[in-house]
This record gives sequence, C-alpha cells and structure tokens, in this order.
Amino acid sequence: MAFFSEIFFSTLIGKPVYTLDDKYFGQFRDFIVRRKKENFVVTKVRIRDRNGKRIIIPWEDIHSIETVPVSFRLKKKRDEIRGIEYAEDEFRVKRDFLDQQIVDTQDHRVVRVNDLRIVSVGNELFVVAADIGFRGLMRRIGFESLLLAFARFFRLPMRNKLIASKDIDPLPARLRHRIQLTVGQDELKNMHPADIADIVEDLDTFERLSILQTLPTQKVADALFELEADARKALVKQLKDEQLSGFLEQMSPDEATDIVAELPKRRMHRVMQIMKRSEAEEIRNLLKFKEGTAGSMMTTEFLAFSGDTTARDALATLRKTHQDAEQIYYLYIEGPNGELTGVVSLRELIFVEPKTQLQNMVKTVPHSVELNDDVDTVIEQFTKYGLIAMPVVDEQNRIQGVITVDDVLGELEEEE
Amino acid sequence: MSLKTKLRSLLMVLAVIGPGIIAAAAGNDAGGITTYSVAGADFGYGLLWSVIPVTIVLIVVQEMCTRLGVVSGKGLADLIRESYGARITFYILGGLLIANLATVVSEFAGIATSLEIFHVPRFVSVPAAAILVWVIITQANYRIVEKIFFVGALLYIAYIVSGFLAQPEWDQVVRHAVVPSFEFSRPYILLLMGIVGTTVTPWMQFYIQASVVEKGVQVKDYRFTKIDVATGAVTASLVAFFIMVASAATLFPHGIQIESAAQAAVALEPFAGRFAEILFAGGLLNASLLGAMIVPIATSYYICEGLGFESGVNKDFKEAPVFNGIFTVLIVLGAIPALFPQVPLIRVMLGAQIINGILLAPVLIFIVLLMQKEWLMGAHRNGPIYNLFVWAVILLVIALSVGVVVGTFM
Repeated sequence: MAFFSEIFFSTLIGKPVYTLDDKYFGQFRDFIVRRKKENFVVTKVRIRDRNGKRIIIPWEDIHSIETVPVSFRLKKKRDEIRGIEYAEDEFRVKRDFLDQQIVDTQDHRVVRVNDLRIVSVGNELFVVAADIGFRGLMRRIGFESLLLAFARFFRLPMRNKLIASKDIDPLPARLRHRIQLTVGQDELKNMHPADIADIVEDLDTFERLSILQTLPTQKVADALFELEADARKALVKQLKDEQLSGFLEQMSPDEATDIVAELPKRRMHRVMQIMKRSEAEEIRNLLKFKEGTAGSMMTTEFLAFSGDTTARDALATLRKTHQDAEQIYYLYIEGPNGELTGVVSLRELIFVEPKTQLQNMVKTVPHSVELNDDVDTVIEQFTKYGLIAMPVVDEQNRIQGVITVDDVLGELEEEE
Repeated sequence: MSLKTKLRSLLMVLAVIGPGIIAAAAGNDAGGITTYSVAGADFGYGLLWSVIPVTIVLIVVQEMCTRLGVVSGKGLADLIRESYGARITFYILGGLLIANLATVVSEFAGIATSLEIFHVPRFVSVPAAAILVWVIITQANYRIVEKIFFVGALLYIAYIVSGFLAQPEWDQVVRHAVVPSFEFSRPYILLLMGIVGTTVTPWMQFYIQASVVEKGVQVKDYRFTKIDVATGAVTASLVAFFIMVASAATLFPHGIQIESAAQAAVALEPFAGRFAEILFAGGLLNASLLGAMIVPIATSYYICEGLGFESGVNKDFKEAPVFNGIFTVLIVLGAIPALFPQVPLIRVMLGAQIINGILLAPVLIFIVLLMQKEWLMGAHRNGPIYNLFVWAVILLVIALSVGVVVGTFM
C-alpha cells in the first residue's frame, strides 16, 4: 500500500478514483470516520460514480492514494465493488466537520473548521487535527500560495492553526432534526461548569438543547447558573417545565431563586408545582425578598446546632449532611428560640475534645447581616472581616440563612 | 379571546417585533430615497403602481429569511458556508463587502447633503456622524441599539407628512397606484428595476435573519415575526410611495430634473413650503444615519460569521480584530469621500446597485434552496405550490436586477 504521510482533506475532494485495472470509476466525495482513542480513523469512503450515484465502500478496498496528481486506486474491478452503509456512530468528514462548527474542548469555545489534517499510519488513515486558521481558509479558496508569497515578502510567520482531534467534539448539523446529538461525551462531562457555560454561549439554540441533554443533570444545573444573564434567559425559555424544574432542584435554593424570579408569573407557578414540595417551599420563601437585599442572596440550606451539642455529635451530623449544606466551615449555634448566639469554625471543632459542648467553645458573637440589608452592606461586611460565609438574621436575631463568599463575588462581578 | 389573552398576545408581538420593521426601513436608505425622488420627478405618478408588487416581493423574501433564522437558529452566512462551502461563501461575502462600502459612502453623502440644507458644513457633519456611529456601535448593547434603530424607523413618518404637504391630486394618485401603466423607454425601465433593486438588497437578507436569531425568536412565536415582516414591508412601501407622490406632485409638472434626494428637498420648497423641505431633508438625514449604523455592523457580523472570525460588539480589538476592523474601516472609508462634494455620488450609488444586483441572484437562490432542505427546516419547509410561487417571484427579481446591470453597461 502506498499512501502519503500527511495531507489536507480539502485537497482530496473531487479527485478521481480508478479501479484496479486503471479504469475511471468516479470522484472522491467523503471519508466516513469513527472515533478511535484520540483520533478519528477512516472506515469507509464515499464516491460519486460515473452515473452520479453515491456509493460507499469499505476503506479496505482502497489500494493506494497517489499525491502528484492526487488520485485514488481501488483493489477491485468495477463489477466486484459492493456499496455498504455506515453506522450511526460514524461521522462524515465533509458533511460533519468541514465548514461546520465544532467544540474546541481545550479552549472551551466553538470554532469553524476550515480544513482537516489527515495522516497515514500503517494501513490506516487518521484525521488528526482540524485547521481553523486563516491559512486554511485561504487554501480552501485557492489563495494559499498567494498568501504564503505575501507572508514571505513581509517576513510574517504563516502557520496553520490546528486543533488536535482529541480536543474536538463535532456538532453534526444535519442530524439535528432526526436523532439526539451525541456530542461531547467524556470531555464535556469532566469540564468545569463555567467552561461548559462558555461553550454553550457560543452555540445556536438547537445545539444548546442537545448538548445539555447529553450531560448529567447536576452538571447542567451548575452550567446553567454560570451562563451570562441573556443566554440563560434564552435557554430557560426553551426548556420544558419538567426539565427546568429538574435542574432547579439540583441548584442551591438561592441560585434557583435567581432563575425562578426571572420567569413570567404563570410559568413560575407551573414550574414550582412540578418541583419537590420542600425545594419549592424554600424558593417561595426566598422569592419574598427584594432583589439586591441580603435575603435574596442567601441560601436556606445551612446547619445550625443547639448550644449543648457536643463536638462529636456535631462532626457526625456534618458527615451525614455535608452534601446539603452549602458551606461547612462555620457552624452556627442557636438558642431555644432560634436566635443566633455564636459561631464555631470547623478548625476549632476538629481540635477540641470530642465531649466539649459547642456553647463552651464560642469566643465571639458572630458577624451577621439582616434580611433587608442591601448588597453593598453585605459586600462591606465580607471584605471587612474576610469571611467565607456569614449568617443572615431577622429582626429577632433568628438565623434565616447563610450567604457564602461566592454569592458575594457574583455580585461584585455584576457591579463592575 | 378574553381581554387577558388579547393583552398577552399583544405583549408577545411587541417582544418579537423589530427586525422586520427595522430591516425594511433601512431599505429606504439614502439610495432608496434618491431613487424614489427621481422616479417621481421624471415620470410623475407613472411608477406608483410598482409599489404594491414590490411590497409583495419584499414580504415573500423577508418571510423566508426570518423563517430560516427562527427554525435553524443560524445566520444566513453560517448556513451558506455550511451547505455550500468556503469558496462560494468567500466570494459572496467579498462582493457584499464592496457593495456595502459603496452603500456606506452614499449614506454619509446623504448625511452631508441633508445637513447642508440646515447650514451645517460637511467637514463638521461627516466626522461628527462617523464618530457618533462608531461610538453607538461599540458602546451600546444590542437592546439599546435596536431601540435606536426602531425609533429611527418610526421617524420615516416625516416623508408621509411631506407627501401630504405637496398637495397631490388624490384621484390621480389612487388611480396610478392600482392601475399599472408601462412605458417602453430605457430610463423608465432602468428606474423600475432600480426601485426593485433598492428595496430588496442582499445585505438586508443577512441582516434580518441575523436579528431574529439574535433576538432568540422561537418557532412557536414565529407567527408574530410574520406580522413584524408584513408591517415593516407595508410601512416601508408607504414611505416610498409618499416620497414618489411628493416629488411627482411638485417637481414633475415643472419638469425639474434632480440627481439626489437633497436636491429634491430643496426643489420642493417653492411648491410645498419650507416645512416640507425641512421634513424631506430631515427624513433623508434620519435614513442615512440609520443606514450608516446598520450597514457597517451587519457587514462585520456576517463576514465574521461566515468565515469563522471571532465576532461580537462587546469584544475589543484584541479579542476580535477582524470584526472591529471591518466596521471601523467601513465607517472611515465610507465617510472620507462624503467630505468632498466633487465625488460623483450618483455613480457610487449606481456602482453599489450594480454589485448588489449581481449578488442578489445567488443569495436569493441559496435562500430558496436552503428553505427546501429537510434536514434543516423539517416541517417548516416551503410547500410545493408556495415554492413554485417563490421561484417565480425570485426569478422575476433576478431578471430585473440582471437587467439593471446589463442596462447600465449598454
């Protein structure tokens, strides 16, 4: 077998295909590929025969690819060639990659593919990278040599801008009406929600919905909250009520409330009815607080202990419930009527005798804010005392919720 | 329908409305107003009948573009690139860039000449307008920009008022509006083609599709977009109609020849009064400003979209160099020729119209071909009978625009 060592896909399109006995068979149209570890391996070849009919043949039927000038040679004679179909999990390079948008999972963005680099290893061909650079675009248009001459004259570097195949996730546009997209399996699942949000903002509405459907609910919920306000609103508008309530349940109540507060009245009502009763109740409570007050920033998922709890019991409770509480660094202590009497840090808790009662560990009265304090006051308190979290109390000093530092950071970013 | 549901759907209309009205209004830019004024001055009411068929054509084309945008969620340049490849996209976008540069030049010329009527010299008005446009594009967000465009579109009412001030013979106007007349002379046919060419432009299709996508209009709300498109087309045509009426009632009977819209405004004064002149010049200023804002930014958007450069008004030069570069260069290169009264603007406009005429054919054909794709449009494809109608309309438009190109060179 004789193949080139590497070549750009666009230079192959439309090139002649000859049979074993050197008779003209047709024109090369496309490669069918399948993911194989870090790359895409060519499994089948799509050809337009002399009568204009499209035929797909297995890669094994290709004898060689000449480079000067480019042509394909088959291992079979015309009457031995049989067409086959391709599988659901396979992609077509020209249809699904070339000129299409793909997700660059390395830089968390959506880019347009100008060309693809193909490399031969042994008897196999691999798509190893997508070319997204200006040079690739010029190659497609037929001005590459002109561009290179120009670049040489001005001594400008003119490299190809490539993204390795392992960092590529295709978004096959043509399949959007028919099947669920299977984009972004493992790469996306392991990404930080904020990075997923970056990608989602680049996508069109169809792709947004399908990409989110392939991810675990928790991931989507987190990414949803990280989206820019406009993109989030648009996306929330398109989700079905059931989907949305599912995501909301996965969020912390204060985040969920931010989203619910933006919904039109009727939809808000519908979505809350589908949600778990307890979650909906918490959101309903938070909704009462005006935007921009401490009450609207806080989460109602927090841990409060009575003063006579021992350190050992408190630690045991922490272990059991750590997943529900937004923060576990401060333990708040409340009196018989729920009034805030003290705070104990996790560090203190670990280093005392297990039998010590929490009330005996309290050194200071904790800093707190009131439900109706505005955002600026909250920010001021956080920066002044350098806290990770702060309790929110009502007029009777009863603890109502907790604001964590990430909520404050979010507000700071918005103010800028 | 209960009052509440009525109210709700009214709110929906307002939420979705905008792209159609703005796009159609922007079609009546400096070049458009010039064409209509000249049509009225040269042929009186003789070309009025063309307004109704042109409106229908405009609605048909814009409706398809918005449907394409709503269903696919993608811009026109995106779709052409993805379905027809890099090379053809590059040439179409390159052509549009040149045509749009010529259009921007004519917009700034419109700003310069209209403000001269108010005694503002060019070397003040043109740089000021260029800076204003650049600042609005780079500093304001899309919602605000769209509101500015929308108010600009409403100000076109000035032309309707000036049409009334010209005191036309209404019975004549009505008769000529519905009864087609035809004249087999070269200037008449060229002007007729010019009217079609200035109303249905290639860049407008990119713009309207991008703005419904940007607005995030959903398929279930698409019927409201239809209302938007139809309202936009009808009001834009009404404006065109009254421009023709105004110059037909005043300039035509006295045989006054004009070459620009500003000349039309000045020539209007002795017959329709100073107020009509101010309205006419103000309308031209508004139209030119609107065009000078929309055309550069729209051009930047679809070139970056189709060729895969980073785009977005909230990104700076470092993040999106091509995007920011294109509209900045368009504004600067567009403004400079307007500083010199010697530059033959009528030729620039004609040049723009010729390139637009050449580009319109492939753009319209791509739109219809995309509309037929099952994988893209699903159930929202054109039906077979409607498709036949659309092809007929489009071939007619193409024939007319090719006619302009051929006719100018002959």
